[in-house]
Amino acid sequence: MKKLLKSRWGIIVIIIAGILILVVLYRANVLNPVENSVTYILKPVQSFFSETAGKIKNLSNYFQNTEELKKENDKLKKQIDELTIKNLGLEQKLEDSQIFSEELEFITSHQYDSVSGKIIGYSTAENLQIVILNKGQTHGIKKGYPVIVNNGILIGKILETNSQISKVLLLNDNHSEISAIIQNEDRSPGIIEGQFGLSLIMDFIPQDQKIQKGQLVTSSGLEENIPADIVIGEINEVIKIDGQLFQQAIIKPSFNYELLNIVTVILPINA
Amino acid sequence: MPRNILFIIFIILITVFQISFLFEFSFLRNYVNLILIALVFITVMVNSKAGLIFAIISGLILDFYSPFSFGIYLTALIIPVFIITNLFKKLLARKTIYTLIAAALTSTVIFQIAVLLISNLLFWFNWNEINYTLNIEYLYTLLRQLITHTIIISILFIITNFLSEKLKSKFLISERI
Repeated sequence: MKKLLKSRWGIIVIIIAGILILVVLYRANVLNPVENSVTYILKPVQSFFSETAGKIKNLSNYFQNTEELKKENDKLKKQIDELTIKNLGLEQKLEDSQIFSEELEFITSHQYDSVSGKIIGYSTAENLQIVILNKGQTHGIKKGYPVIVNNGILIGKILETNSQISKVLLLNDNHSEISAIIQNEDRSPGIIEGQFGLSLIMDFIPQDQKIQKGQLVTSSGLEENIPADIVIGEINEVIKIDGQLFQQAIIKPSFNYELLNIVTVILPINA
Repeated sequence: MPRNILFIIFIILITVFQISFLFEFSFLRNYVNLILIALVFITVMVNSKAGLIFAIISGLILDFYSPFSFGIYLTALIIPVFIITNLFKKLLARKTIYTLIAAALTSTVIFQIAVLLISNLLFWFNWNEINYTLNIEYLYTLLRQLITHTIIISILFIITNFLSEKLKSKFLISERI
């Protein structure tokens, strides 16, 4: 063993064997307690970093607003500066509570079961639009459940979950596909696909149906666990090519996915 | 022993900092991989053993938060350690800014290619639900990272060099006294 550890190839063999053993153990769910413990321990640290980042984001937004205010009213600038900085922490809490109550109102009015949580990080893969939610299986969350914000705007689906955290695949990721309908006379159906985090595109809309910019797009309810008529966004542009079977529409999401903080997962009733 | 514990805490904090702080800012998400920079810096400036420990701990944590199959990030971080240790074996004897930049550039390319290849390989075997797609956005991310990593690692080298020179002169003075 000592000889093996001293040679370069020996170390490589040991590491490859170690990784393979870990992968097999993980797939056999033997590592679940380790994963749950690690994510449980790291959750407060993640919340701290995420909240700090949120405050910095708010601060930068605040400075942008100040620029506009400066032009409008120079005299009030100093006063606004002082008050805004003082109330920054308070505003964050108020904003959180407003989002919570809006989400709760939506949930209670539609008689859904739900669980609210905070976004505490992003997926390790840079180009994928996946966020980490601080609630998991212990809160009743399962794969495929829809995730909403504010007063009922669909932003994604649960991709994976363990007892402590969940990974949410946002609608604008190119792996995301969701059945949707346009709120027009025909209730035109289609599939919404993400465009590498840049936009949403609704495809497979029958060519003969009349659709136009500004029409609301909602979930169709055809997918398991995703209720119908949850707002996704509105049509920003229609792409219609003669001779094609289907037309497409570029969808403007009703919520800026970069500002995600508090979200709600809709659970099936009596889940 | 406390030094080892501190090193492990440092690795964990760097990893969580990247997931929960840096990645919150969309403009940083595609530009900086702090974990990779720290990994290269430690492997070159400290030693490959420390780099390997960094890669294992950080890789395990990343895999817990990754949407891919377990083991992809662990493997993708370990490979650069072996490659820069063996490829730059002679160069590593003299730790210059050029060695560090070359190691950072090589590691960035190897890491991204490893994640792309392994995630797609496992996707074909149905072990992964999603995969990395080789497209223009992926290439842009790689290019952006190559540029920012070169800049950051150069700054880190200059700071370390400056601080170590300062410390060295302090020790020399105290020795003379």
